[in-house]
Amino acid sequence: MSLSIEYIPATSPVHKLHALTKLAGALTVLTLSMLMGTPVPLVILQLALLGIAAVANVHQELLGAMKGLLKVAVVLIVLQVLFYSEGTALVPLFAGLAITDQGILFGVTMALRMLVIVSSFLLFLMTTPTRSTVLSLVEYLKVPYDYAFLFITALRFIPTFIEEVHLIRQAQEARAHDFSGGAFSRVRSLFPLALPLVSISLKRAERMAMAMETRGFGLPGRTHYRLEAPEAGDFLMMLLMVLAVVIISLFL
Amino acid sequence: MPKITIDNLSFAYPDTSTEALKEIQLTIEPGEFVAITGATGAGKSTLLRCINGIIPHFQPGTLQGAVYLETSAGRSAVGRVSTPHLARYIGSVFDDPEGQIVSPIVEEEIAFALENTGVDPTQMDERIQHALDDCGIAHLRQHPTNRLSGGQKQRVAIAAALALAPSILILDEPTSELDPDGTEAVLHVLSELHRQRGITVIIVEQKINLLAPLCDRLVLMDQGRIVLEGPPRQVLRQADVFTQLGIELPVPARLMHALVKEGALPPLDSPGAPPVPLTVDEAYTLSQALLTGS
Ligand SMILES: Nc1ncnc2c1ncn2[C@@H]1O[C@H](COP(=O)(O)OP(=O)(O)OP(=O)(O)O)[C@@H](O)[C@H]1O
Ligand SMILES: [Mg+2]
Repeated sequence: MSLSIEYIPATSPVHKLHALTKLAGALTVLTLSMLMGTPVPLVILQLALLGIAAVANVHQELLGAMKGLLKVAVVLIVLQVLFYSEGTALVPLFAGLAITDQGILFGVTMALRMLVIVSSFLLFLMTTPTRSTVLSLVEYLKVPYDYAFLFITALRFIPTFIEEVHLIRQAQEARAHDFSGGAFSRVRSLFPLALPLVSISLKRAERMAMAMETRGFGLPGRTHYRLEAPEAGDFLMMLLMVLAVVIISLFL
Repeated sequence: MPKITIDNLSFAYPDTSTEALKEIQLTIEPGEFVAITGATGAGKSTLLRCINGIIPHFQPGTLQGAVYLETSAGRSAVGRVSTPHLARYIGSVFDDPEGQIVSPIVEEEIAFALENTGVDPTQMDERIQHALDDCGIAHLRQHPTNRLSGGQKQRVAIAAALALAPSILILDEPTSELDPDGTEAVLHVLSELHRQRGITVIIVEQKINLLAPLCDRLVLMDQGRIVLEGPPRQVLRQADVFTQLGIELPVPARLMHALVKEGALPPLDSPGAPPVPLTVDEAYTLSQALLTGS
């Protein structure tokens, strides 16, 4: 998998949407996936995301990223299946453990949820220039702009992070299921791998902040060459998103 | 047009024992074209960062002395003016063509500085065109920035820095990642800007053979200090300093030093000595004069 996710320039209806609309879209997908507790709606959601990616002409990249995430998904499923004890036992395992129907269901749901959430944020990043996201976060949501940068930098690393978290967990679990160190030491064991990536990315974000400030970014009274305001289509999309959340939360 | 005064400037990066800059003293007149060179780690980038305010605004460390911008209205220390405010006076171009471009389309990249400084949008088209024309890239106006060559990217970066009509342009190895064509295009733009608009240019470069004919002053740095500075013809006389610092002397100057050593030319500091040639053409003329005995 590539080191991080980048904006892929193109002229598509998805690219044209306002950064805030796409961010709202990713958050909507996040909410929906939390509401959905079974695999089928999640699969539909994922297919919808792939459809949107095809419209935006970034489906190749999204499929590539999904392939990387699939490994993680498999690990997720296997772990859930092994350690989930509720439900009817299908195949008895050692030490009183068993593969249960609910274990499988739960594992698959978790994996799909992860896939859906990551895909939606990837879609957002791949179709929105960093600059537009930073500007909208700063101008519309009044986020201090260094935080806006951090936010995007962090988003870019979601897939890499997830993959690493699971690879390391897998390695640790292969080493005698040693969870005795507790959550903290497990998180800390991530850093040797993740830290160089993060620091490269932070450096890059800082370079960009520098390039922006040395050209006057941050002065009061900013004007706009072309107004990048949300348009009718954006409001329509956001309305649809709210409706989708409301309707789906009523029916699920 | 501000004059730049660097007064007894020292700087150490955090957690380092040696200073990256040691007691730098330098005055740069309005409209001067200054080329800075030196071995890696000499402190060239650090010096530029002190002039454009990256130090201390972005880079922590121990700073002593100061860099001043002096106008008829008075003088102000760079460290006390915020980076965005400095943008009106100083345009910066960095060495990586990638990292400094923030917009997906060339014209948006140029407009960025105009937007930030609150320029009236109705004036922007003209100013964008102007900046692009100055850099010879008007045809790239609607181009996606990620599909530009390195040389084109650097010219976009220069145009973007020029959009605010700064009186000072600072460039850190802008041609380090460029091929000969790209390098020539970028340096051509700089010399035209300097000649026609009277912009102060401060550039760090390894390719001094290309810069010597363009610049008013050549500055040699080593281990945080300015070792040698002056008009290029004067600086290039000191071949021994170049050797000592491991900086390659441009070929025309080398030819002259060789001719002096052979006794074909009088010693450089003698009264009748011809000036050090800066270009191949000048070196050619000099050799021809020798051959014809004039
Ligand atoms: N961010 C930093 N943190 C710590 N030390 C640094 C940092 N940047 C530079 N230095 C050190 O400061 C000194 C001067 O570095 P500087 O980058 O100014 O050199 P330079 O002349 O630009 O070199 P180069 O030709 O390689 O670009 C070097 O010893 C370098 O290791
Ligand atoms: Mg440098």
